[in-house]
Amino acid sequence: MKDWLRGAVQEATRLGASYADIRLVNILTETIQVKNGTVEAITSRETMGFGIRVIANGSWGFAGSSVVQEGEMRRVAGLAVQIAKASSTLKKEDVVLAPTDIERGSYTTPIKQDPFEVSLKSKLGLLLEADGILRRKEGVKISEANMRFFRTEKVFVSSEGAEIDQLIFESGGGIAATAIEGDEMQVRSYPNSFRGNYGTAGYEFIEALDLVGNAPRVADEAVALLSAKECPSTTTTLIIGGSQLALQVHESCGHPIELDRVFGMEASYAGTSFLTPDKLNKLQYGSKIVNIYADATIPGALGTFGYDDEGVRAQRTPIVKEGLFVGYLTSRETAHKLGWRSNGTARAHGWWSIPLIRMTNVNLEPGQWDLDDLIRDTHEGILVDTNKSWSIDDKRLNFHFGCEIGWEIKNGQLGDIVKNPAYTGITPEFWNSCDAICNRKYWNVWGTPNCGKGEPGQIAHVAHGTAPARFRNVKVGVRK
Amino acid sequence: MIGKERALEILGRVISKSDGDETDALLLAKNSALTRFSNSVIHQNVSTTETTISVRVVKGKRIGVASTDRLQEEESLSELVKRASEIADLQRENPNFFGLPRPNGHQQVDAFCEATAEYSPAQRAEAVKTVVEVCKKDKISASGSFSTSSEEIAIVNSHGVAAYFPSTSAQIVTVVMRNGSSGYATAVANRVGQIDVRSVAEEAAEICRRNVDQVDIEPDRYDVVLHPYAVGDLISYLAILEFGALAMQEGRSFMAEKKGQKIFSESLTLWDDGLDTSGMPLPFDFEGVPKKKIVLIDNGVAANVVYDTATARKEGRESTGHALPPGNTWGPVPVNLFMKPGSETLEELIKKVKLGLFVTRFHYINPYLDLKRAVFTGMTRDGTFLIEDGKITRAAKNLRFTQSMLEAFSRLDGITAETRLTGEFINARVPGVLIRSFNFSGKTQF
Repeated sequence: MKDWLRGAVQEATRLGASYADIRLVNILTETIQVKNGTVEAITSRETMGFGIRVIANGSWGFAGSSVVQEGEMRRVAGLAVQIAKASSTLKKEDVVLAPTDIERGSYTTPIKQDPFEVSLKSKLGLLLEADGILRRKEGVKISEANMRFFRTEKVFVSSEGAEIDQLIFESGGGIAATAIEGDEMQVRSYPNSFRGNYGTAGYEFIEALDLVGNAPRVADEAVALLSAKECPSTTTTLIIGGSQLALQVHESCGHPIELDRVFGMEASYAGTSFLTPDKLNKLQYGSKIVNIYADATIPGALGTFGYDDEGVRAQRTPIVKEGLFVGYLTSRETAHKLGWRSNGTARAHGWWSIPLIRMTNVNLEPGQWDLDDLIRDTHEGILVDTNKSWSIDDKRLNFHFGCEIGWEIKNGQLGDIVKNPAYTGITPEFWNSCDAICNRKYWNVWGTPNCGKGEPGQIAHVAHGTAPARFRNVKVGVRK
Repeated sequence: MIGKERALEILGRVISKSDGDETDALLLAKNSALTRFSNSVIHQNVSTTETTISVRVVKGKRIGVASTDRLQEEESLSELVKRASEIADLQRENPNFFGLPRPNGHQQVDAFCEATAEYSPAQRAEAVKTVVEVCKKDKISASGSFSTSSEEIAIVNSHGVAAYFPSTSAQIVTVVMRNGSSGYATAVANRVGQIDVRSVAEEAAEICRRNVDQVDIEPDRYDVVLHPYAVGDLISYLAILEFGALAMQEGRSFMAEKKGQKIFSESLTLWDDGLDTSGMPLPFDFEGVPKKKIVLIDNGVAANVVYDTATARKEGRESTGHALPPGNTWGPVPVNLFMKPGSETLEELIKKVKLGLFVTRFHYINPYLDLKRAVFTGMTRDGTFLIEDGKITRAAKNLRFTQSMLEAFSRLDGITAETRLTGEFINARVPGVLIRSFNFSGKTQF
């Protein structure tokens, strides 16, 4: 098969490409969804195909096909060159790729138990048990439990001589209870909303979640929220739990540091970024205790891999140091524009899509605080967790998040539950108001398996390591 | 192109391999191409050919679903059916499943255009050049995408359903920018010849030219005139989340309590029609059931929801032809939306506003804050303007809205005669509207 890939790359260069690469990708996905005691869906999907990316006449072209045959690869190579030549009729300068090491290696996600080898019976047993516990609670009208597994095999060959094989396993799942009474509806999820938590791992990841053990609490909280008081509309101190803070990092730091977005390449879709290059090493993005880095090498994290889809080795990159904005996520093309080398974050959704700059694991470093001490140290405020809604403007400044649950904090103690907590702010003001971050004991990496970007739309699997943190003077309760 | 005969023959072969009591197979084939531009140059340019077959094997009330795009070898298809069958064997009975649909013939709709299917990279580049040229004279930088695609959907089931629909589509989206100003326009059609690229570019450039020196507006309740682009965004989320039968049956939608009640302004009528060629038609759903025209909101009354086979049979009714592909847990959704136009122009709506805002489009709408009250939040984008004494007087910085759509669409006070087909999310042909007292909850710095 590799001969076919080399042949396609050679065909592209013969037709005039100054650079060509091909990715052969085979993705096997298994999804199991249980709802209200019924197995709603068990689906198995396999997709295999290849994508050829070329530079010809100084511009990009890409073509992909699910017909994995030698002749088709040569046809598609020709189409990619034809597309690149069409692109070159509207260019200002040639695409130049930053130099990178020519890798000839392989990477396999270390796993303990292949999730595709675990019997369906066993998986269903676990989900149905958790689902049953959720439904036992009076007031819970919808109980849900799910698991999803991915096995992605990738082969990368480039005209520069790179040849890389990767096998990546991803596993994840979660539970959710929806309580409904009249026109009041409340949801609680575990370990995270929107289908749970994910990692590059085997079935051991699912077992460690303890979905069954957490089900009673999740059901209780969902029902308790129905009669809870509404989160007050005020400006107060906010402690944000880890999973919600992960999405905060995702939207207000992860996306604006994508250098293609900064250069306007995403302008017509989700927008640009306020973190323009003139702010690099100058903008105090957050307070002195805020340290953020991107790290594609964290064992088990969802944004972990061996090499990106341009053949650049996975790396750790500082983004914010003691509050100062110092780094971007880059591809080879965008890194060249700053005179940098790529830090290896260009990834494609599948064989059918081009690599774009995607978050890896973009993490907030843990601080010093124990959570109990942090609450004790907070005279008045609200603790919120688990995302319910998310929205941010097209430069990543004004954000608005809704959470599943909140607790009042009064005189250093957690008080009543509040429902429909939401908060809003402006990104740098918000991060500069951060005055406490919990320690490594509370630090967890939260997988986000549904990060959207690009046209045609692509989905990436990324993650964020966070611990609960405290922010001052935050506007909360902005629901209506 | 695979073609009708071959597509149905392949699917017939697939279901013949099944040992289930009932089986259906869905083929989705797509040739898609997209030329993307930013800073007035083409920076991404892609083309993809893909064909996927999904098979659903039913044994009693136990269902297994598998899909693949490895169609080159016969053994891949056999393996696909075997996988779905094995899953069905391991499944539990689904009490909400009442069988696959029976044949019911569907209306033919012509939505295929050879010129669109054959549109070349060079032709797309020419279209993009038109946008760039329109913008260039005012030193405006153009971004966006121009896409063309051809698609085939075929469905066969063991009861004799055999449906095939070929279609093409073309879409241009552009955001143009200059020194902190921006403008937006888009157009979508089944036939590329129906898209007037120059007109789209000029519309976006004109918004950009007017969107300068934006003033800071304090968040508050304002009367708003919404361009059809903005209306399409709101209506699409509202319809998808609230007007599907499963959402109603589970109690997630306000339709569980409010169906049959007049909860919107009398001037609001919204329907779904997969056969109307002024939208992006789709004559049958992903179970092969013919699409029926369904009025969702009738003169302000929350009238109906859409059904697939499972949700319909649960209520002893017929499917309305709104199923998603097998394996989904969303339930049926309306995807061909039409809102009844009024009789006014956008200028006439603006004249009715003493102090308010004109919104070109919304950005990053999130509809999950409170589904039962349809509370959405989102930002304005690419052209927000202050209205004073019936006239647009200044450009305004973008604002965040947080607003119940139940309340907003009960305060309609004007609808335009002109409609636009908006299509970045799902396809909705909608007019512009005037909504009184729309809640803006925050602001940003640009």
